[in-house]
Amino acid sequence: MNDLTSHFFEVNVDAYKGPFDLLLALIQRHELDICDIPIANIAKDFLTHVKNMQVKNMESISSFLIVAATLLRLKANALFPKEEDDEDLDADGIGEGLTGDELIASLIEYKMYRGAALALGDRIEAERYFFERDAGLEFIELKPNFLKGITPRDLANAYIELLLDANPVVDMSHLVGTEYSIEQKIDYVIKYFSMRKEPSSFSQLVSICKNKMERIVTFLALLELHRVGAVHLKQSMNFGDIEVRPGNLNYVESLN
Amino acid sequence: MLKALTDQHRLIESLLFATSEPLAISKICQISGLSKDEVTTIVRELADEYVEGNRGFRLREVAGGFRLYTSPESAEAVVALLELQDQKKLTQAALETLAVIAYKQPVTRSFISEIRGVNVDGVVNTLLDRGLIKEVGRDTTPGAPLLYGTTKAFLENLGLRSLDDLPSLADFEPDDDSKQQIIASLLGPKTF
Repeated sequence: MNDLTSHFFEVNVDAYKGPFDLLLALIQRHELDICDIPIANIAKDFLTHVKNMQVKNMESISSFLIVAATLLRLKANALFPKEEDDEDLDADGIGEGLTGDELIASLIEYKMYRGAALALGDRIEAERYFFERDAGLEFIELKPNFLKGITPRDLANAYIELLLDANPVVDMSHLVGTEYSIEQKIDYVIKYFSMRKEPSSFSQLVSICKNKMERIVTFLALLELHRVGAVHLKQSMNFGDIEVRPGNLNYVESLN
Repeated sequence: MLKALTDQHRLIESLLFATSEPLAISKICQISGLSKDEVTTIVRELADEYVEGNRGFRLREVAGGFRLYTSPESAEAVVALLELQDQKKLTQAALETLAVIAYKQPVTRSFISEIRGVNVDGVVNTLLDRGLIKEVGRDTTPGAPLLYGTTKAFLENLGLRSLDDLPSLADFEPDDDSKQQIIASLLGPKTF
C-alpha cells in the first residue's frame, strides 16, 4: 500500500471548513491521486472520521459523504480504460451526488472564492491599524447655551429666592376630581347580577355609561371581579364583545 | 512640499473634524457652496498634507465619503488609550462566506452553501451579528428564501470606497497549473 494513501483521511475533518476545503488541501499536498487510493481505504477512513466528528451535524456529514461517494465513483471510472464514446460515464452522476466534472468545477470555483476570502481577510487586517475619528455630539455646541450671560451671583440670588419662597401655594385648579371609582362600579356589577342571574355582556354593562372614562372604570372593575372569580369573562373573537357571566359573587368580600 | 492652506481648506477641515461618519463630497459642496471639483481637490490636498506633514491623522475615502482616521503608525498607542478589546478575527469559513456574498450579492444561503460545499447557517448568522451583511430582500424562487448583501459597515471594515473597489474576482481564479492538478488528481492521468 502506498504510504501516502495509508493516511489519506487521517486528517482532522473538523479542522477543515468543508469537504471542498479538505479535498483541495489533499490535492495541493499531492496526497490525492485517484489511481493510487485503494477504495476500501477511502470508505473506511472516511466513515471512521465521520463517526468521530465532534459535532454530529447531519448536513455537514452528508456534505462530506457526497464528496466521498463522488471520489469512489471517480475511482471506479479510473480503473477502467477510457473509451472514446465514454463521455456519459461522467455525466451520469450518482443520484443527487456530483459528477466528476461538477466536482472539478466546484473545486475550481471554491478555490477562487477562497483566494478572494484571503484578500478580504488581509484588507480587514490592514484596516485594524486605522481608527476613525468619531466626533461625538459633546464636541459640538448644537444646543443653545441656556446659561449664557448668567453670573454665579445670579445663581445665588435665584437660590435665595427659592429658599424664601419655602411655602409656595400649589395651584391645583387644573386637577379634576375622580368622578368614578372602581369600588363603585364593582357594586354596580354585583347589584346588576344579583337582580338577574343570566349572563350579560360588556356592551350591556357599559350601556348606561355617560363617557369614556366611566366605561374604562367599568372595564377595570370587571377585571378585578374576574380576578377573584366573582365574574367570568370570555371574548370569543378579537375586538368582539366580551361575555360576562356571574360567578361566585361572595368572593367580592375579599376585595374589601 | 506643503502648500499654504486657504480659508476653504480650513472650512472643509473643520467639517471633517466635526463629523462622525463618512462625509460625502456632495454634502461638503452643499455646505461650503464650492463645486464638486473644488472640494475634491481640496480634500486631496488635505489628505496629502497629513501624510507629508507626518501628522497623527489621515484623511481617507471610505464607504462613500471622507473621514479622518488616526495614522496607522500610531495604532498601538491608540489601542492603549482607548483600551480597545481586540475584536475576534473572522474565521476562514466566515471570510469565505463573506467573499461569496460580497461578489455575488444579493445571494441566498443555499447559493453560498453550494459554492462552499457545506451548510452556512452558523457563519451567516455570525456575519449578521457583526453587521457586515444584512437581509436585502427575498428571492423569487419557491419558499422565497432571504437574500443577503453587504453593509456600509462592511465597506468601513475593509476600508473600501464602494463595492467597485473590491479586487476583481477573476484575479483569484486558480491558474492553469492548479486547475490541471485538480483534474489530474480526480480523474487520473488516463484522461490526458
